[in-house]
Amino acid sequence: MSILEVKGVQYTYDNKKKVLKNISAQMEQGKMYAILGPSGCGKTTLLSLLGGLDSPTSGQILYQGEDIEKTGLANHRRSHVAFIFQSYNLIDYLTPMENVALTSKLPPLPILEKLGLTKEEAKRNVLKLSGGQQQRVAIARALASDAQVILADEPTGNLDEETAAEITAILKDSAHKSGKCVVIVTHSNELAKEADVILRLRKGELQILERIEQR
Amino acid sequence: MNLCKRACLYSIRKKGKTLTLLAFLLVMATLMLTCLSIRSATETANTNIKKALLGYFTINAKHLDTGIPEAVTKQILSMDGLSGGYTLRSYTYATYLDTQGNPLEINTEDAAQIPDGYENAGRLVANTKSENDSYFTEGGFTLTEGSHIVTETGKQVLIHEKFAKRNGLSIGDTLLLRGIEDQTHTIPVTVAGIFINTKEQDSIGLAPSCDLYDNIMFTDLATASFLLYGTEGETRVQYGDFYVNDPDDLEQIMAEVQGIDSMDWANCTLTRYDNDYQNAKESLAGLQNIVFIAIAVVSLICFLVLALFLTLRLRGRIHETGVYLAMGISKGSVLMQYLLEVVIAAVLALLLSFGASSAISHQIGSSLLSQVTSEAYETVSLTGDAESAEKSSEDLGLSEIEVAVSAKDYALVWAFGMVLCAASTALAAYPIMKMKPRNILSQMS
Repeated sequence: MSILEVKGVQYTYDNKKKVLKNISAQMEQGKMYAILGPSGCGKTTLLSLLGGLDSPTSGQILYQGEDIEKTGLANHRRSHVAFIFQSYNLIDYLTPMENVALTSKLPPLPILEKLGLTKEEAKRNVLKLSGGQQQRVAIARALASDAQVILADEPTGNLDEETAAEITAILKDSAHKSGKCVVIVTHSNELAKEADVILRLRKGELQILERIEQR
Repeated sequence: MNLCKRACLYSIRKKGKTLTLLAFLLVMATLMLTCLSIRSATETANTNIKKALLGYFTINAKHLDTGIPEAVTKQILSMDGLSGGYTLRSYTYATYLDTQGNPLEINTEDAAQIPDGYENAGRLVANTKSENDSYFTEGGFTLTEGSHIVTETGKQVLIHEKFAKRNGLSIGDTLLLRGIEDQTHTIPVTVAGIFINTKEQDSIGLAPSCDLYDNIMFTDLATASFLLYGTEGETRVQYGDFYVNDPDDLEQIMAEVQGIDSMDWANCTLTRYDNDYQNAKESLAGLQNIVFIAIAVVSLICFLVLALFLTLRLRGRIHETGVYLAMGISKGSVLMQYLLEVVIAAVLALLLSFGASSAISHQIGSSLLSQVTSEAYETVSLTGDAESAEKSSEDLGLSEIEVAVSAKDYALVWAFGMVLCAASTALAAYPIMKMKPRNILSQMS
């Protein structure tokens, strides 16, 4: 059964520009999805709709079969999904541990250590960490939230090749080992190749390519 | 992590921003508290002036055949707003006789003339309390023997020492007073006291014999009433001075008095005496207006500047707001966090403002108030009568006024400060809070 479903969704900017045209898709736990497409094709818009940051012009987003508009967008964001952004979006006056603790009741240090941060780094000012470390903190925050869906917007966009590969591996493990549903927005074919399913957006229409051989 | 912890961590870790806000709020709270303290001090000054420069009105019924009847006096005294202080006065002339009806000798040597029918007569002054009469309070008369006359002690007189010597009179002796116009009105009186004049009479050689100091006698109101109006058992008077609690109510009380039907107001006059108070009040009103305007301006500026300051601060935190919303933290919770951060700084600022304002308001307030009160003294001296002119600062009750921060003003500033913080934060956060989370996040990127 799909955990997240896009059902006949349309999205129009200012009642003029139609960004998404009646698209439908289903997403399951334990899989990593990549939304691929050129700039301005509506990738981030689709991610925002999946995360309850915005509402579709028409159609529905279902979480475990329930319309997230009806159960409440804030509740959806709080309980079901976790975001990872390209620019990390950490709270700059909180330490990595405190950033993780924002969404988690679990002790944050083991999660951070698991993602490769030392104890000292976990207590340091987040702005003094490298880009890769900051993105690890952002991923730790998403994983610690206990959300079943992780939505990542260009998570490796600001990282070097080596760190990007490490982050991709962590996200992949989150899907395959922790059973999360990971949805990544990217324009990187390299990252998309790592996904189980590629959702290709072109001129507002969705093409779904399942890559079973990747498992 | 709850919003309180987030607010505390922000306040502690963003020291520069917190200290800037703290300094700003401290200046605002100190200014506000100083203005309120000065306002309170001016109110105290006003109250003290009211007490010191009593307002009163006088009924002059000299030309009224009936004078002021006792019933009218009682009716006036029962009115609201009167302090209970009053002075009733009557002035007449009487022929002085011994108990056998023989005329007593008066001083005629220093007189400009001896009017017909006044060969053995003198001025008779009746007052509620003789010791409060202006001859004794301002004219230099001093009682050397006996005791003063009050309303209750009827049929008594105070006589001049020279008159006593001239006629061999002493305390306890009896003499007769006979009306000038109506000679059937004769009343025996007892000498209750003997006085002297310490100041020489200016009009010696100019005044008629009956007005010479030596020939003046003081008596009670009932005796004067009998000689003037032939009343027995009822005391009528020519003049009544009635003091009010609040000089600002004088006009209304006088209107009420003029509503008494039993008086012929066409033939008597009602005069208000509150010039000293009004002039002193005018000086204070100037300061009160300045303080009022200052409070209004400070309040408005505080609100606008704080709202602007917080708007800029929150605009710089749109990224943070977006992250919180993406995490599912409600807008209300985010707003409360921002408000709590301001409140933390405000509490510190308000605590510190007590000391700062105490020092400042004492300096500025005392200087302003002393300037204004000296104007008040000058005004009183220039416009007032001799009595007022001699009033010292102690008499006006202004020397005791201390410009200090009162608990009431401090509480008011706390309440105002909290409302200001809430309103400014709400105003500053409104543009962000009305946006969709996605729009906030798109602004971030």
